[in-house]
Amino acid sequence: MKQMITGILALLALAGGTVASRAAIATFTPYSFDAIWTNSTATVWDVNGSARTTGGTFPNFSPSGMSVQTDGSGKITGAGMMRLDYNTMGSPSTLFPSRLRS
Amino acid sequence: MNLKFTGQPGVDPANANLIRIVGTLSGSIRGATPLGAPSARIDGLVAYINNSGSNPAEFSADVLQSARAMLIFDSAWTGHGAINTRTDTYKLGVRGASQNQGSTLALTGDLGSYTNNTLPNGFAAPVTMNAKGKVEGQAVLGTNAQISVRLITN
Repeated sequence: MKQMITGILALLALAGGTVASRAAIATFTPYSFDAIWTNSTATVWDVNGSARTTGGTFPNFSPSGMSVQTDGSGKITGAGMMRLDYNTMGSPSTLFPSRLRS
Repeated sequence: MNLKFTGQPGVDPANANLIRIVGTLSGSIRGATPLGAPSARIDGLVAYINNSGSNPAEFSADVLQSARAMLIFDSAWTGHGAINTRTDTYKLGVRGASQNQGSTLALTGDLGSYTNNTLPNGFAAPVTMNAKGKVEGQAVLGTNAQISVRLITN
């Protein structure tokens, strides 16, 4: 009888151990994922440059070597140079160091 | 030089076939220039941003998925989700990190089976995805995404 009880306890312990192991281990599958939404309400505008005036009008502002980014919150920041031309000759002109923020 | 640009999507003044951010440039220029000394005023000059444009919203990330849970492991996004095994659907909340900081998306859809040489019996992953949230400060409501999934094996 004692042997039988011991055997039952051993089985319970084994079963308990199995259940505990199953609870502790979950199998995860790793995958990479890409989703694109093409409907009109899922359009996002990016700004990666600075404003410039239209060619042929003076004074004429044009970015030069400007680096601009839009972050995840929509904030636009950048830095570089802004060239200002006063006439069609391009002389004189002024190059302004510029910092850009929205 | 202290200039302010105010604009919105419009026809590119330099190319009528393109839509850019178009607006006006106003402000002041300090110092002696041909525009005046000691300062000059700029008002309402038509201007546009050449490097601007609209794109479809996109979400790309690496995912760890169990029978009941989804976990984003990616340098640009964080988040986790729950799987309803009865309906084979999921809800996944993600937040932007690093360059995507500030973006948030609530993603929902159906799970389906994908096959792969490594797992010939297939693995479950989203087959449909709708999105609601903000990306780059703009409201996004995406339906029926074009989806591609690739099992990570290394």
